[in-house]
Amino acid sequence: MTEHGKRSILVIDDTPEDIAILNEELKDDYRVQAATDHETAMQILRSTPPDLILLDVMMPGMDGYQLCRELKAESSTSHIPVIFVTAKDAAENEAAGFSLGCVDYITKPVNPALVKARVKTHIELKLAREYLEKQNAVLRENALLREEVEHIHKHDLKNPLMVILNIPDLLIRQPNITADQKQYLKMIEDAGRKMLEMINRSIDIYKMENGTYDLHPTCVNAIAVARQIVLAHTHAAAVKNVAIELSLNGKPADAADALNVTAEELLLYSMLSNLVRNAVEACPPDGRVLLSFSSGKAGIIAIHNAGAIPEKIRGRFFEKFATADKQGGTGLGAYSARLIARTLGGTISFLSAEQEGTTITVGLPLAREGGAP
Amino acid sequence: MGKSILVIDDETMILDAIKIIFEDMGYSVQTTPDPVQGTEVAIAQDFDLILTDIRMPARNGAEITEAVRAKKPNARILVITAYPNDPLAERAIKAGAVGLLKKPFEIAKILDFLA
Repeated sequence: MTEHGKRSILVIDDTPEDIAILNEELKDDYRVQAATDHETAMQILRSTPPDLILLDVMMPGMDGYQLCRELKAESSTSHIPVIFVTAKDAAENEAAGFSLGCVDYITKPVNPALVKARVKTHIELKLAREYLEKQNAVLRENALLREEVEHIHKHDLKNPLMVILNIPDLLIRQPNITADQKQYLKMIEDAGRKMLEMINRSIDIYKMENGTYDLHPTCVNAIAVARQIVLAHTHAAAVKNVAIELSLNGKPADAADALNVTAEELLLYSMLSNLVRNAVEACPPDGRVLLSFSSGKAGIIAIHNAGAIPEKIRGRFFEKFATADKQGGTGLGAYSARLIARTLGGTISFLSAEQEGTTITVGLPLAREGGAP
Repeated sequence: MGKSILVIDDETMILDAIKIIFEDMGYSVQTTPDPVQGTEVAIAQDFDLILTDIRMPARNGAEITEAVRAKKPNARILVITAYPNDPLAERAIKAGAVGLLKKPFEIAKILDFLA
């Protein structure tokens, strides 16, 4: 191995004789630098940072522990492994050294084979760690790149959608089209619209994640939005004989009730719709999903059902792709609900237990009196 | 004779869709997926409306708008884009484009710019 390719070691010791011994053992395999005082040590650390430091603990005029503490506190040196070299071999001193962040101890007088072995181990560990860090950085970069490419593809999908959304209309206006055929064309158009909604939602999620979502909040009656959502879930609820009920401040909500919050109506709809869909799916048959609205400092919407969130996903319920192996579940429902709640300047949390079931609580800024946000 | 339209978009399915819908309504429609060729045609011939996509390789819609309007200050150019808040679309509007449609749009909306 060339001198240049060798890994470097800095020996900090006030005794030149001890430095000479260590140098003798290590010089064949490593580039050895040495410092007998604090200032020289710092100079070397700044100009040619080593891969490993052998640090004497007992030095007149310089405290090895103190120096180690400094090295670990400084970001440019904190990653360099430190091995203490000391005449002391009392267990409590070793513990003190480890607590400061040293990786190993060597006691004087040094055993040549032991020094070589320990230095080799720790240099290899450092190299392995650096390799992993590099790989991590590459993976992170790739993940970002992939997200970026996916984002572009989402926009590209709008081109074929132009055709799917426009051509049925042209066909419908042709003579000799039967009622059945018209209905089929409508189905194509509806499917296209559904797909567009999904694309737009996923573009919105990307923007909310990036913090580039352009929010235009207005005053929205959350109870009115919830009523639309209940209507949209009537079928799914009826299949399981689940009732969806609304209440305001503890009493059943009637048609005139309002809870005005500051939000974007579509986002609020999308968030509550996800949460209600999840609640209906998780609710035991013949049960009830209750949406309770209340106002205090914030507008509170609590969605309760008697089903508990499976224990294995409770800890990461709001995380991306957290799904309890649900058929057709994307694992984006709760995640996007939290993203939307935060984008709207609100909060979201959940409580779940086998006995009590699950309650998701959303807090949103209340709209000021008079309707204007 | 019906009004004439030129459509420039590197997505040929967009060209085909606009072509059949507008020919069905009696318009004369020319299309090209090549933005450079499209610019030449837009300068060489007269159209009642020129539609151009914004994001294309080789030449973007803002550059097309600038190049065509430099030669033909009265050219009516309508830009289309799949991206909301596209700075290139804003640049095309500054260069004199008559409007902006965001994909996917109802193709009949183009009629508003043919009046």
